[in-house]
Amino acid sequence: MTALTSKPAADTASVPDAPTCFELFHNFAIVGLTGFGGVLPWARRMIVERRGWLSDLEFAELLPLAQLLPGPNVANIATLLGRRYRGAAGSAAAVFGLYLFPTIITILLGYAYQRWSDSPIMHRLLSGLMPAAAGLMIATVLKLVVSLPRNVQSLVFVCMTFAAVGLLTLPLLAVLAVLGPLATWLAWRTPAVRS
Amino acid sequence: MWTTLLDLLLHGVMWSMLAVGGSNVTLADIQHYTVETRHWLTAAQFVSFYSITQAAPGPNGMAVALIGLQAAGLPGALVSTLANCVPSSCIAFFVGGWFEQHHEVRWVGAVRHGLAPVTVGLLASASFVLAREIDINAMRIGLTVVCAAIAFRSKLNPIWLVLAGAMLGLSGVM
Repeated sequence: MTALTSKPAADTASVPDAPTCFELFHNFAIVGLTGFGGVLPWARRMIVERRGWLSDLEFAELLPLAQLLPGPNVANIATLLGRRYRGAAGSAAAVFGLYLFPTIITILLGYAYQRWSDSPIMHRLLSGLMPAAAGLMIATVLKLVVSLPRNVQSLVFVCMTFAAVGLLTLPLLAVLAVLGPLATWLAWRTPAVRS
Repeated sequence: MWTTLLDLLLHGVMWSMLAVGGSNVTLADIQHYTVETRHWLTAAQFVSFYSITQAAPGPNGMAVALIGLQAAGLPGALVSTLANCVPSSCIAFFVGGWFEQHHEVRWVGAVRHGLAPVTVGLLASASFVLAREIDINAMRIGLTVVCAAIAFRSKLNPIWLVLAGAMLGLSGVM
């Protein structure tokens, strides 16, 4: 454990003062509270531009790791940054801060929905909100599709996953247990990936 | 009550740990389990909950808090939220710390490249589950297509599209 934490400590040399647990909590709480329409851009602005905890390049290096790990990318960034500066307590402070206000707001919205779910205004509101939300999800898919390598292998895995989970509603755990290792093994065999 | 909470906890932990490439990849499986297997909520409520969380600040995946609220009240909401963020953060803490020092390891690249199309397939499934329930008339299909096109082609903050959609809805044209 000591060996693991000593290396991240060296990375903080570019930062004059490593943030305290309270600073991690406080800054990620603000990110959570203001993060409308996706938290990631707000997290980047706070970490790189306002606090200077990471350079643009360091943030860009951290992002793929946060994307690869399971869970929301921004929660993983909070975990990794908190870990780097203050170990387990830092991670806990950053993640707790990030989730505090969104959890409260979401639960209050849930109560509002339960209270007014039969009102015409709620129906009207959702009749426009829902198609917009569906459109945003489709846009995310489109953005990822254009970033994929243009080959048959990619297409086959997209279609197999969609057929298994979207159409056949097979259990996610089973689908990932089969397709995950298979996709990784095939990518490993492709020379371009290894370089 | 206790069995529901335990169910929310165990499945929440599983979804959190399987959410490779972001929270929304598990959405189709969450819909299938909570709506069709457990009947905690209706399909209409599911898409409402997802959409409501898009209008609120915070990380992706907060819809599970509303599903928990519906299934088991406030304890359900809190259990679901914790199950959503704690396991994935623990993985990030232990595995991520190791990764940060070994990012030159070859198979890390292989995992990233290999899983990318699987992530796309899972998000396409999530889109399908949402659109199938939501886009039930021409106006709604049109709004989804326009929002998808704008969000795909521009860097506009998506919250403006969500608000515009809500305004259109309130005006009664949808």
